[in-house]
Amino acid sequence: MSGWLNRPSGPVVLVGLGLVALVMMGVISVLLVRASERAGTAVTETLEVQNQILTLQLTLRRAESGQRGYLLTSDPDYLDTYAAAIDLVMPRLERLRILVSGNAVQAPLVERLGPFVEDKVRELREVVALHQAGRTDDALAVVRSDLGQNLMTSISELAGQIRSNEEAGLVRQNQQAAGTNRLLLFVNLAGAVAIAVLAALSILLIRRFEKQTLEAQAALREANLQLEEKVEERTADLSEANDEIQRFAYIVSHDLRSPLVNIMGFTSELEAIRNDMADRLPPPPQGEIDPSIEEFDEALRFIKSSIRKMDGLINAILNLSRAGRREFDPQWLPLGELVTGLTGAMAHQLLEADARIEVEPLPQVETDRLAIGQIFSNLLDNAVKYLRPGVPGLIRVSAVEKGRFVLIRVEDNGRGIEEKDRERVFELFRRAGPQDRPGEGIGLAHVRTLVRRLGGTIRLESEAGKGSTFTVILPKAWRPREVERTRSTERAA
Amino acid sequence: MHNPNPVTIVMIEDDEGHARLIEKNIRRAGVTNEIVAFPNGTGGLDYLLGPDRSGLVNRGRALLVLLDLNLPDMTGVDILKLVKSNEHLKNAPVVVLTTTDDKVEIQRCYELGCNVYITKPVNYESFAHAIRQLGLFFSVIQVPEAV
Repeated sequence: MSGWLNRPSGPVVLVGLGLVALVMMGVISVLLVRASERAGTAVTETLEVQNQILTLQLTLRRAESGQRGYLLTSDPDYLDTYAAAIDLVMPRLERLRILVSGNAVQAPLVERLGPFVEDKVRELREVVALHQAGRTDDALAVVRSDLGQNLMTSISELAGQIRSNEEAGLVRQNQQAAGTNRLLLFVNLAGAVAIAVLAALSILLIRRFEKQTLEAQAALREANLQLEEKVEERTADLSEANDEIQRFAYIVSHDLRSPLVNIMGFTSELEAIRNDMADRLPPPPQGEIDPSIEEFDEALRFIKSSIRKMDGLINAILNLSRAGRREFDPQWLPLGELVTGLTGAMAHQLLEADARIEVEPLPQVETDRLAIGQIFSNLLDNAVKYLRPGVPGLIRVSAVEKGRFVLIRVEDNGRGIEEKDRERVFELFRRAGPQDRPGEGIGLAHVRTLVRRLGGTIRLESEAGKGSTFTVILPKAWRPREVERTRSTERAA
Repeated sequence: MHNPNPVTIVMIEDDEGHARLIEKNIRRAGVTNEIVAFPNGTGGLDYLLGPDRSGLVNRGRALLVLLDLNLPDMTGVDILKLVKSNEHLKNAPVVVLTTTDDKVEIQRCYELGCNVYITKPVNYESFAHAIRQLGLFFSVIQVPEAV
């Protein structure tokens, strides 16, 4: 079968073709019926012409025989018959003339017939008039002359010609009508057959498409099933990797802390020893400090500050890994109230920074209260922290719902984040822009970890010097990463 | 500390530095009791429960166990469980000393019968202070009656 039939539009095309066939059948039928009507009218006309010419001839014959009877018997009854017939001759001729007026062959013949008929009528009237005037011999003389007989013969010949002409026309018309009817039958039969074929073809095609559709659906189901399996596999791998990282972070931070305890402890011991030794040394001259002691103290200061810094970093990793291990407690939370509560707690900070926070209506989300609090307090804190100098801060929190997700935007008019730093800011211990604010570079890393664990993502749009917009995308109903499930089953085991 | 049946301090701590710092601070707090140190769990258990793990060796002895949770051969929690489930040792106070400040871990140790849980802070002052607090602890130890 050709290509277009195999497309889903195939049946539609077939139905269209069927419709065209039907319309064509209708049009042809109407044309043919009208042709046959015309033929019928023509037949009627022919019959009328024949009838009329016969009537004309009969009337003439009646007038003539009435006249002859009158001449022979002078009986007024014959005269009456004659008189009745002779008056009808001319109207009948006129009627015939009208009937053939549209016929190019018959009209001239009727025209030629006219004078003969008129002459004949005149001859008949003349004879009757002579006889009534008592001039019977003159009348008989007229009758005896061949004039009347000749006229009648001419009339009969012409009438015969007209009749045979009409006869021929009738045969032709009958043949034509029969042809038209045959054609009509043929067209109807052909149309019916065409429609039946098209219908059968349509049914066949629809059946085939149905089969193909079912097959395609089955294939799709199969593919979906496989996809789900794949996704599950990947998720399991991912959660395993994630668990691995969590454990790694936990162990590393612990194992790093142990030596640090020693370093700090023995540094303090060293300090104690130094103090003992300094006491034992001869006191330096007034107002002076032993340079070696001074250098010793400097070294100790650096060691201690480095330990504190390292301790801070280790604690940060530990907290992060702990946040990654905490079990969530999902519940329906009114985000608006929650965020407003957070801004309330920042009142002092806002006043100092000359900033304000606008919270637009926010929807309810089923998620973990603590995590949400940490996410938004970090984002708001950052927004207030990194304002543009001299520009009053305006931070707007808004939300839109999209399908099963809620997009919460935290928009500020602060200093913004340069393109190159937009991924970096989410990394642990990384910060962007001028380092003029205290911080460890943990907040956004923590936020991203939390958002991901809640089953969402976070996006950042920003323009340096204009402001930043963080968009937190969360599932409306609780739908955490698969990690949770595997972990809780592990715990249960 | 003039105790007729002096308390022996059993310290199971794999980090030599930590052990030394703990000892220094205990001494600094004025505690003069004997300290027996083990760098791993097996050695500690051998001493506490005896090679047959019955605990009979220490029946009637006054012991205080200083326990680190991260040991090379076993976890301190295992040792804690064994000590607290042994009829001869269950009354010996156990002080868990570790870098872990995980709440779940702490909770678990207390549930298993740990008497004091001390997090080793990096801040040495706090560390020294916490150890010295143990000095006070010694004065309230109930030495079990010799049977």
